[in-house]
Amino acid sequence: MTHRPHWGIWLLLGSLWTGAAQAQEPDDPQFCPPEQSQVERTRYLRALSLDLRGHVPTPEEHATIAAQPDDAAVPEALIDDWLSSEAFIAQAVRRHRALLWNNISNLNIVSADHQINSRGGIWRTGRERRYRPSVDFRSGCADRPAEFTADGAIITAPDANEVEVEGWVEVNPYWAPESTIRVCAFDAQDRRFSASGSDCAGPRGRLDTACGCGPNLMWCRPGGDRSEVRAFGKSLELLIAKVLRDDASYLDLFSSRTSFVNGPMVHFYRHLAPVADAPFTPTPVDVETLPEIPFTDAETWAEISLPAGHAGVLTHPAYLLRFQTNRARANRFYEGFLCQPFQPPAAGLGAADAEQALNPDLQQRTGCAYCHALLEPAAAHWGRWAESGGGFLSPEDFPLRACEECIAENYECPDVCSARARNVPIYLTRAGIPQDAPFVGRLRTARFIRDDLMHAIDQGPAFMVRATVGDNRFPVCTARRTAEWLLGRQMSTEADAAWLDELAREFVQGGFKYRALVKTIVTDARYRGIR
Amino acid sequence: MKHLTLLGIMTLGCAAPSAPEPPASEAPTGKTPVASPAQESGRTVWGNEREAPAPRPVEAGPATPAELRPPVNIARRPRRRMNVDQLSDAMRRVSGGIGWTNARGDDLFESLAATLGRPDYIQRTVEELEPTVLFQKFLDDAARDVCTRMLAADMASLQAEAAADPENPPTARILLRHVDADDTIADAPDAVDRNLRHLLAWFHGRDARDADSLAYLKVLVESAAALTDDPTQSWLGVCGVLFTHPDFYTY
Repeated sequence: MTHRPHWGIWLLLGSLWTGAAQAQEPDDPQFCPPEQSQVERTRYLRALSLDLRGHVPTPEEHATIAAQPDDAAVPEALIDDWLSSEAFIAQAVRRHRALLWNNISNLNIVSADHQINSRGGIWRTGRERRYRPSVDFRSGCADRPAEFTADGAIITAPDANEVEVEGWVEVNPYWAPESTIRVCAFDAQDRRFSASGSDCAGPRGRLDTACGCGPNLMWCRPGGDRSEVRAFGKSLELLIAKVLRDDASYLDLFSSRTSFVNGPMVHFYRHLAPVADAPFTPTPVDVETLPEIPFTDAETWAEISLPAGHAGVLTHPAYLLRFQTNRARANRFYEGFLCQPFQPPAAGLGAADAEQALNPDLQQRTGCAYCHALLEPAAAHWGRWAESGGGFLSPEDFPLRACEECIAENYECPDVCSARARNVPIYLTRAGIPQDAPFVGRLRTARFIRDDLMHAIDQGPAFMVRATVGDNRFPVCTARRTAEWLLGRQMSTEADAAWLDELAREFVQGGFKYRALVKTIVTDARYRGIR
Repeated sequence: MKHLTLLGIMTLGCAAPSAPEPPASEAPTGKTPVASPAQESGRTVWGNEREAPAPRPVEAGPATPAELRPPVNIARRPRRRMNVDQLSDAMRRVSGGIGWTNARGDDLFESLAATLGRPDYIQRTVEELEPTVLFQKFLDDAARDVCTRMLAADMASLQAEAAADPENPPTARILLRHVDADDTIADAPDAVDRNLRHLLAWFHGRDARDADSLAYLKVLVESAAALTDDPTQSWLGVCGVLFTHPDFYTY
């Protein structure tokens, strides 16, 4: 049965609210309820439920609380139950999304050379001009089965544009192993090493026409697929959820060496990381110990242990790719977790004179130094993590000053000194400008870092977090951010500051338990009152 | 506060009414004889007679509890608008599972999430939680859609109850929980009151203990019934008002 609303009902509602809006006065209790030192218990219950679980109380919960005497409080056990629920974890993860901005689904970290697309039902990569040389045309292969010589070489024939093209072969791609697709024969080549010695599974494979996408196209990715970056974002949230679910120390979030991987992530680390546009080599996980999860299984998540050097969310690929420079990484941590945004003073920054303006060390340049004197040493904590990517330079394989002595003494440097990450040298091997001279032979990320602060590079972001716990900035900011979330306002008064100190002290003394911090806030008069 | 109460009790214990009455011979005269040096051991008092204040009886009332410290003016939290996820979930729960969807079944809160303030942390990094005009417009749209279907579901349930068909059992009514389709304020004032109380608790989590808190809804029920000549339309109006009332979408 349909029951159509009478047209007059909506007109009536409209006029009711229009009338209400016209009659509204700032102190009209009907429309601007007066400040309440304590909201009604049932309304308090509703606010608690919305903040802690993301939904309104059930009618049964409402009835239970409403039936209690007027002076009865919302039972502490009920709040504890809600704080232990999966719904609370979902809310806390949602809150941390606002601090970590871990949505990187817009990123494409695989180059066109390793993306494969279907055109007219035949799949090919972006390497058309290498495989089918032509000045004027980006040609695909011919729509016919490929032919091979006796020794396996691909036979080509000129197409309508006089471009030498090959035919196709049939392949079962890793992303749909049950299906068969037609792939241009050059793109479908599956040898690991070419005759000229190129490792087809490495970054040089794309330059060699004897290299293709590998067995089942494993070194290429369907164009438009973003499953690995979506998985990175989700994986970071699983780490947050684990710390909260276990009621572990909140600091674990910034020091944990636990991570979660699914099928697309495992495939990425095994087969795409070495060829990705975003530098992921040296691979930041132990590839040999990754679990066997097929690419097609995006819903199965396995917990893995990470090598030394990892620092929880701060070295998670989602964080590293969301904030691609070390300065950006430090900046987000300072703003989100230390409540210290890098902002110029109200009076503005001083201008550098002509000589200073040429100083590449921003810690010293007038104006820039206002932020960079602090930002550069903070950014150095990520000095072993690739910018624009997620590769990790371990201290064992890439010592901080590996090339200092050989360059200074002018003898042959070890191979590591010429190592590059996606074409960028890892070490500073010569002074391009005079100011570089003191830093030659060190990791490039140590450039302009004072000797007494150089330890930050080896100790990593986890050390920075510990230091900021020691000086109380981290606990106070955690209390501030949590209070701002739950109270929905800035914590800007003197009374607020005193309360935050108190919250931070309890947070530290209680072992950095996030749930306990939330509970303290939502049971405080500041939360129960409303204005 | 306990300390202050105790102090008050102690003070009362020292107050004049509880002190023994002086004997008649020692009744106050307004002048006190000067003690001779010999009369006050260890102390010498010089001078002539001095004025002594006349004792006055003190009447103490009952002890009044008070805070030891002055009240601290703490900043409370402002009302906050639900975020789009909370709003969508709250509407589904209140409506018994009916969401705001289009003809294809797409969740319109999800489709309009960015417009309604949910950040994607790529283009927008701050969640917009102001009850803007745009928000009110879409909330109004959602309320009309969901309320219409809630009423239809309740009417179907009423029919199923009447038919008593075991193959088609009635579902729990929400908008018409305590009233029948024909009930009006004139015919069944108690049932209407009861239903309004139920709806206020169901939608807003608020207990309507006095008649005043139902007054604006009763006006609406009467107006709608008079306008449409169909009592069920009143409940459609009440539903719309309750969904678009700040007590629903703020907390």
